[in-house]
Amino acid sequence: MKQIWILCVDDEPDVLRAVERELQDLEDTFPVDTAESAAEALEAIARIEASGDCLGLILCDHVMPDKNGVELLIEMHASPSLQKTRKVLVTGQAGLDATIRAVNDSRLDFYIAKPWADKEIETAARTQLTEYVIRSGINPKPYMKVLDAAKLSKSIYEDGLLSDE
Amino acid sequence: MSKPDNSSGQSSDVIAMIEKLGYEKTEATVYERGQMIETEGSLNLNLYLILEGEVEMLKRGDLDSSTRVDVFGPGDLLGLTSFWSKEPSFLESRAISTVRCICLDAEKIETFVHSSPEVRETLHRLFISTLSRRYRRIASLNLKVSELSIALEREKNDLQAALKDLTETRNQLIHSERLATLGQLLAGIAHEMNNPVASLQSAFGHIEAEFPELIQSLDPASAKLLKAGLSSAFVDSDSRRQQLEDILHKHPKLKRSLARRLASLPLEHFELLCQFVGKDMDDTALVKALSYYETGSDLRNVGLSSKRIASLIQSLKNYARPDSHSWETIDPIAGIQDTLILLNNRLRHYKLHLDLPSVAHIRAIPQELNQVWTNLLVNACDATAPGGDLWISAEQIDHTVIITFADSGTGIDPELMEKIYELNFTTKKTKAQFGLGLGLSISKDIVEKHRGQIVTRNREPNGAVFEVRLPIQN
Repeated sequence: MKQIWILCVDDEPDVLRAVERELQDLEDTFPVDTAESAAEALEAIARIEASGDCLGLILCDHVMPDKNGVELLIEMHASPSLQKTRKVLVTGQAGLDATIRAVNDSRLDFYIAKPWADKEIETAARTQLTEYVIRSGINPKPYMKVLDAAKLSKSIYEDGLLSDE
Repeated sequence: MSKPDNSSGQSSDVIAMIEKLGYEKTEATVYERGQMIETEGSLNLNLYLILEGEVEMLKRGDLDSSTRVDVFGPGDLLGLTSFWSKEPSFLESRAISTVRCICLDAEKIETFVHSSPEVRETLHRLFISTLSRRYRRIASLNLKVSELSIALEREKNDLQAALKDLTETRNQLIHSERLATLGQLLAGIAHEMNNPVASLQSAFGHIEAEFPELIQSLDPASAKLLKAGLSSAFVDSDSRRQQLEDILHKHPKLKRSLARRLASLPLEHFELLCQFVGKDMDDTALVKALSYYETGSDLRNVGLSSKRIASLIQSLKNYARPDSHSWETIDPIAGIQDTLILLNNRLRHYKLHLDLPSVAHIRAIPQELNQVWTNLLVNACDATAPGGDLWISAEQIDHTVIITFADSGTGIDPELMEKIYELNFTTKKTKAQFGLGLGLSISKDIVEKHRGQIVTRNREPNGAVFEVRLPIQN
């Protein structure tokens, strides 16, 4: 079965670890990969696509050397295979201009300010991945336990995806 | 106003002549002081030959005011132009003192003109001298106007220059005020944070020492894992990814999240943990072992983070110091390092090359020098695209300490080399800049106050170099 991946990007290793830990309970269903720069992130995405899987969610810092987070998200959004990927900025330092660009040019889905509240990242990840599953038309059954079951059920009902399995 | 130009020589001729022709002095018309002789705008039918007294010529201005245009005295002819032109009087005349004059109407003048050539000529000379006198007066007035205009222009320029000076001084004061306020705020924040941080560090020190012993007494095997965590080392992303794959390969049934946690362990700790858990990698045992290990590494993290905060606060306190602006003997390198720490957020986008050996201590006002370092570093960052290079070096030659800031940025336009130190000169266009173009100018002032100099040049292949030379004063 196609795996849905989560990618975390931050140039500070401590922060990256912290974000990963927030996703521990999701990791068994949605494998997690990490990157410390935009370049590494693009490599990770290439690996995921090469193995036939898809990227469901990216959690990305903004201030990074060379390419910054917003630029990465905009670049990703230009790629058709990544347009459904849910995009979340996790940052303490994106100014208004950068955030506007992220919203308008990359269709940013969520913004989490550092430092984040307890469980904020985990909750956001669940919500975003629920959206991803619904919009990608993927069979939601394997994910009911881990994601927002109520929402998934509603979409099944509305889209008439209920099967006789 | 000047005194009347007395053509008394001619007038006495005329008076003599008039007397000859039968006019007595007593037939003169008398005007009392303040009395109007001719009014502006009226038709003038007489010439007035003044025998005694003074008459002022007035021009009416706005709001019932009059300007004195001329003054006539004995021997002068009044009403000459209005009489002959038959146009309404341009000016009006008023007696300033008691005036005696002979009134000559058209008929009388006809008589004089026809009486004898001598009389006629004298009259004509009188007319002409009156007119030429007026003309000279106009010329000298025009000259005066021209002089006054030049003086006014000069005055205007002086005032403009003074205004410009004042505006610049005001800006500089506002800037200083802002900096002073910020300095106060920074110092205040630093002091506020000091206590909790000190408390944090002290408490952590105790926990670091006590906690492992506590666990040791309860569960010696697990304590070993905790202690390992306390000394955990950093594992880079690529190694982690590799390790994760290896683990999943060896233990395909393992939960991915657990595998990831395992992959973060440096090799020797990983082996230690595997010993602890046993070959089958039981989930529960694994979770317990990882918890002990990770608590250890979290504690380590707390220690490192609080040290980092403490160091930042110390740098802030060293940097700001708003209370004293006094001279001290300081190590210039310390100030540079504090500034580097405080600017880390900007500097981390660049490749920093530091060469800061110990140099002699110098007499300086530390927070003013810090301002210079900050200004030069910020300028270097502004001029250089992220990923570029910044070089900061120090050296001592004889009795001078030389601190050099070089960057691989856009460099300075050779034509602007002189101008960059001027007040309000800036090439920064973005509105986010706090700068008013005062930075380099103030830095130069500070360096000169320290009896040093700033030297600027461009660097090959690109970028600029700023050298600050400071004398060591013993």
